[in-house]
This record gives sequence, structure tokens and C-alpha cells, in this order.
Amino acid sequence: MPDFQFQSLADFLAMGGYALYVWLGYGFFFIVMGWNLIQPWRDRQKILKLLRARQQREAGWQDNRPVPEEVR
Amino acid sequence: MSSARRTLGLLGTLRASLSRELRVALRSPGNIVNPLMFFVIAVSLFPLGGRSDPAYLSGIAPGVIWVTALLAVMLSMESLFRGDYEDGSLEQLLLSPQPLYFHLLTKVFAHWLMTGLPLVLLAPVLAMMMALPGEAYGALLLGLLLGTPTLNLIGAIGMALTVGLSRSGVLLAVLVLPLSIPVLVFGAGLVDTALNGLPLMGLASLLGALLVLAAILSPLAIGAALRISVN
Amino acid sequence: MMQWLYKLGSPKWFYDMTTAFLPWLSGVTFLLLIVGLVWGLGFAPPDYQMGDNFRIIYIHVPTAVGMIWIYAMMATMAAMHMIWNLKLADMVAKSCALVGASYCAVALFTGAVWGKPTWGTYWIWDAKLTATLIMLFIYIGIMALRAAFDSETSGSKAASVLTLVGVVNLPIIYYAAIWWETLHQPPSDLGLRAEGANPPEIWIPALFTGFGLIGLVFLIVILRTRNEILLRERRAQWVQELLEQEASHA
Repeated sequence: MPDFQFQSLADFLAMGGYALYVWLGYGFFFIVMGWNLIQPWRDRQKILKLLRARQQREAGWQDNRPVPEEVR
Repeated sequence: MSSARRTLGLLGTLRASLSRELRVALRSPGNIVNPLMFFVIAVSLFPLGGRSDPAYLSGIAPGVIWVTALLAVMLSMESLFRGDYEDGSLEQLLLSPQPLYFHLLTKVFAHWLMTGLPLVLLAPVLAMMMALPGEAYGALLLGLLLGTPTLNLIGAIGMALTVGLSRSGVLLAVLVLPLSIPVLVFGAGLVDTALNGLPLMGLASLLGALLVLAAILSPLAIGAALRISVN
Repeated sequence: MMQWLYKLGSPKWFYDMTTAFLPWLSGVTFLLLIVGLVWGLGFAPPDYQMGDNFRIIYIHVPTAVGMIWIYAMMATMAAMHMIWNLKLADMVAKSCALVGASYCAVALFTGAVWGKPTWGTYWIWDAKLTATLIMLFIYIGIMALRAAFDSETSGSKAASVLTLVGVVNLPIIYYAAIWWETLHQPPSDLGLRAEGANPPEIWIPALFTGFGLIGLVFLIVILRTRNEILLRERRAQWVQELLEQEASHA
């Protein structure tokens, strides 16, 4: 394992003068991938909540009235 | 007993289909004239909105003429399936016993004759307006002649996908323009090659190859898309 | 064979199977990514020409390759949907679209920030960049088309057709470099894989990020497909039972 290439944290952030490019690039990557991971997770919570509420609503109906089909 | 009915072979079908399409198209001259007018007006916007010195114009001429032709073809797509979709003849077409493939091919070909070919014929006038040097005219015409049918075919795929949508609007452009980019690049490139005095064969064959590919494959996609839209 | 295919087409099977190995997949993926990124950012020796800027390739190359591979996967799913009417295939295809577009966008962006100091410009209309841009447009078009339909089945089928039509762009990306050479003068070494004989400290982190980013694709697609399954299969018995289970945990 080679050793750490930078002398200090400041050096690391400076990226040998290319800080703007490297961190822009990595930043964009993290934001986009982060969104791609967070969005499904949040959607899942929303879906579970929505479907659970539906389920309880329908369980509350005593007689077998036809269930209105909701558009998603 | 039923009277003896004349059965059409494949060629007969194609001829009948073609003549029908042309007759219907000629009934609404707007569908033919409007894309042409757009072509002329949009190209004129460039010298009017930018600089009008010939050196500048001749530099941007290939790109401007080609992009405007592409947009004009896109705008003309509406007349391909819209009318038939609304009066039900599209459904009838999908149900007809002859292979859909050839019906669609003749439909798009007839559409190109009415909307694409006029663009090609008008191109020299626009080239003159854009101060295109004389040696490039041939390349422009050849490129447009090979390219506009391809654009029609690609546009037909997009039209078939969106004809059933109520507010498709710009969606057609979003779908079709990326797929049209290779034709655009080669077509405009052909004009540039002529301006540089280089042989045209390479790019012209590429354009021809794209046309053949589109002619063979797109009716399949158009048919599949129409079946979805009509349901 | 049809039995096996039928089983593979069952959303419930997919959901149960992924529930089992999702934690494992997440763990491996994040491990690979962390190792690769930390190594690449901090420990790989800087390139003598490009300095520390070259560290971007640890993201750029895998995402560029990934976006093509995601499209191939999406197109395969679209074909399976059209040929065998497998709903699950369509759900996976739908989940692939946004990831593919994201990878494409990241590839373009990282390529731009890498290119500016290296070749002096953020963008150039060469073969690879233009073809990649077209790919992004196609990804967005597929998502837009699916969203434009009110009926879910029509939208799925239309998106599948468009995905298959867009496959023609893949060979264009491949051959674009050759075709461009016949158009313009060949540009001086704009090849983005400018690797000579590099020591392993440089390309091993690339292996880590490469595999990590592949794992990330699977992770994201699986997560989204699971949501899609819950939504589309909401009427099914097993979903109803699952909801009750989730509620009792909450």
C-alpha cells in the first residue's frame, strides 16, 4: 500500500492546484449518486404509508361494495 | 353469390396505397405548403437576426440549412398519422390483410414525396440566400435527397409513438431529434467535404446506408408503435 | 424452460430474493466504493503530466462504460417485455432509465472537468462526446415518453419500443471514432484512455471503483424495482400481508 500522497489536509483539499475540477467532479458524482440512492428509499416509505392507509380504509368497509379503482 | 372480386397482389397493393396517400395529401395543401414556408422563413431568420455578410453566411450555411430542414420535416410529421388516427382509418390499416410493413413504407414514402422532396427542390434557392459557394450545391442536394427520407422514417417512428397522446407537443422533437443527429452530421458534413474539395463518396455512402437501414427497420418500429397508440 | 421463465417473471420471487441479499449487496458495494475512492483520491501517486487532476478518472471511466452497459441491460429487459410480456422485465427497465441517465450525466460532467485543465476546453464536438450526449438525450426521451401516457401498459410498451429503437445508438458510439476520422482531421490524441505502462497503484483503485459502480447500478435498480413491484402489485395477497408486517414493525 503506497503512502498518503498529501502532506496535510489543506494539501489534500487543494489537489495540487486542481481543486476546482477534482472537487466539482467528485461533488457532482456524490450528489447524483446520493440522490439515486435516497430517492428510492424515500419513495419506499411513501409507498408503504400510502398503501397501508389504503389497506386500513378498505378494511373499514363493512359490506362488499365495489372498490373504486384509484389512479396511481 | 358474391361477385368475383379483383384481388391485389403486393405490387397492386402498393400502387393503390400510394395513390390513396397522394390523393389524400393533395386535398390539404396546407400540409405541403406549411413545412416549406417554415423552411424558407426559418433559414431567412439567420441572416436577418445575425450578420448578413456572405463570408459569415456561407460558413454557417450547411448547418443552418440542414438543421432547418430537419425541423421542417419534424413539423410536417403531424400530417402523417394524425388525420387517419382521428377518423379511424388508422385502425382499419392495422386490421388490413396485407402486411402492415409495406403499407407503412408506402405511407411514409408518399409523405416524403409531398413534404420532404419539396424541401430538397427548394434547397438551391435557400443555398443562394445563404451565399453557399457553387461547388457545394450538388453535395447539398445529394445529401438532402438521401437524408430527408431517413428523417421522415425516423420522424414517423416518433409520430407513431405519440399520435395517441393528447398533449404530445414538443415530446415528438425530444424523441426524434437525438436519433436524427447522425443524418444531420453526415449531411452537413457532406457539404463541408465538397467545400474542401474532397471526394464525396464516403459520406454519401454512409448517408445511403442510413437510409437503407431506416427503410428496412423503421416500419417494424412504426407498426409496433401504432398498435400501442391505437389501443 | 417456460416454467423457469415464468418463475423469473414473478415479481414476488424478485422481491423475496432481493430482500435476502440486499444488505449483503449494499455492504459489498459501499466497501468497494470507499476503498476505491479513498485510494484513488489519497493514495495513488499523481500523474506526471496531469498532476492530481487525473484522480477524476476513477469516477469518469466506470460511469462512461456503465451508462452503455445499463442501456444494454435496459434494452434486453425491453425486448423481454415485448416478446414474452413479462411485467417484471418492464419494471426493471423502468428502474434502469434514471440510473443510466445519471451515469451518463456524471460521465459527461467529469469528462468536462477533466478536460479543461488537460486539453484546455470543457467540451469539444468529437465523436465520443457527441455520441454520449445523444445517449443522454435518448435516456431522457424514454423517461419522458413513459411519463406522457396515462395508461401504464401503453406507456410501458411505448417506452420499450423507443428503447429498442435507441439501440442503434450503441454501435454509433462504438464506430463514431472511426467515422469521424473520415470527416475531419484526426484530433491529436483526444483518446480518453491515455494509459501507458501504469504502475498497479494507479489502476487497482480503478478496479475497485469500477466494480463498486457496477454494484451501485444493481443496488439502485433493485431498490427502485422493489418500489415499482409494491406499487403495481398492491392488490396482491402477498403485498397485503407484507404491509401488515411492516405496520407491526413500525
